[in-house]
Amino acid sequence: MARLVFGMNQSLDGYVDHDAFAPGPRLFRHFIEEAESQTGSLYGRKVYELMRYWDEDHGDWEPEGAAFAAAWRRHPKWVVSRTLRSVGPNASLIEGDLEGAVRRLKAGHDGEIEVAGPELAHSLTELGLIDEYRIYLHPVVLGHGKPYFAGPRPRLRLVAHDEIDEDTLRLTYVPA
Amino acid sequence: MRRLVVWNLMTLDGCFEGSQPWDLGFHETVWGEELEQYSLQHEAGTLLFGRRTYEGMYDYWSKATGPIADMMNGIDKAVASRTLTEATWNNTRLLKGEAVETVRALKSEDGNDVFVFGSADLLDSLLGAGLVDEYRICLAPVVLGDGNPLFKPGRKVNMRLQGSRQLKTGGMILTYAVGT
Repeated sequence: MARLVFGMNQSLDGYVDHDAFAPGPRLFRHFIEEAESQTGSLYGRKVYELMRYWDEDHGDWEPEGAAFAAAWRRHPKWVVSRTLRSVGPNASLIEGDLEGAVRRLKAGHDGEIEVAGPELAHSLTELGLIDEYRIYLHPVVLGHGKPYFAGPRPRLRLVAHDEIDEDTLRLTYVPA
Repeated sequence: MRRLVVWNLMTLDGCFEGSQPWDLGFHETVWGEELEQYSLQHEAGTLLFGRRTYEGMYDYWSKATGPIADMMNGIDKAVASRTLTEATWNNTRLLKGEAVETVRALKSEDGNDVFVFGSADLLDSLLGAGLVDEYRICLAPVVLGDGNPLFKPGRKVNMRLQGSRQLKTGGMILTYAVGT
C-alpha cells in the first residue's frame, strides 16, 4: 500500500509559492533524492503544468537540474483534471471518481506517492487519504499567496523535524 | 540598543488567535510543563504590549496565581498606546504617543531585551520601522482557517533560522532573526 505524502515549500505565514522559494543546493539535492525514491506523483492541473518544465531540457537550469529532471521523468505522473485533454510523457489523466481512483492507486503501488498542490491535497484530506504532511518551512513572510492548507483541520501529530539546510526546516505531520 | 523579541504561539496557518479576540483555545494543543518552563526562563527585561493585548493581559494575570502570574505581575512592563491615559497594572509604564517613536526610545535605554506577546497591530508598525530583532514562535499543529494572522496581509519579511526545538506535546519552538 503506497503512502500519500503532501510536501511543499511554505512561508512562515502559511503560503506556498513556486516563485518565492528558489531552493539552495542542499535543499535541491534533497528534492532530487526524494524524486529518485518516489513511486509517482499525483498532481492537480496547475502544479502539473508547472512541473512540465522538467519534461524539457533547459540550458539555464541549476547545476543539478538534469539530475532532478531524470528522476522526475522516470516515475509516473497522475493528473487530476476535468479540463485537460492530454498530458505529457509518462503521465495519465485521472477522471471520474477521485476517491475510487486514488484508493486504487494506493492499493496498487508501494512506497511513497507525492501529492500537490493545496487544492487537490485539501480534497484528499477531506477524504482521509493523505498519510503525511511535509512542510518545508522557509524563514520568509510573503504577505499573500495560496495557503498550504486550503481549509481548517483538526490537530495533527508532529513526528519529525529536520534542518534540511541552514534556513529550511522540514516538519513532518501525520493525522492525529 | 536593547533587542526586541517577539514571543507567540502560532498555528500552522499563521494565526495567533482564533476568529474571536482572545480565542486562544489552540494553545491547549502544545501547552505543558516544557512550555511553562520555557515561559519562565526568558531573559526579558521589559514586556511590551499594544493596548488591546495589555488590557486582556492585565485583566487575566492580575487575578491569577502561580509562578507565571507572579512573573507577569512583577516584571517591568510597558504599554504603547495613543489613547490610554494611564497604565494601572503593577510595574507598568505608559508609552504615550506614536509607538514607533516611543519604542525606539525604549530600545535605546539600558536594560535587557524587550519582549512582546500578542500585540499584532503594534508589531506590524514596529516591523515596518525595522524595530523587531527576533521572532520566537511556538508552532501548534492545528489549522484554524479563519483565525487572526500574526503577520498582517501584505507584510513581507526575510529572516534567518537560528534554532528549532521540538516539545513533547508536538509544538515546535522556532527562533528567527529578522533581516538577512
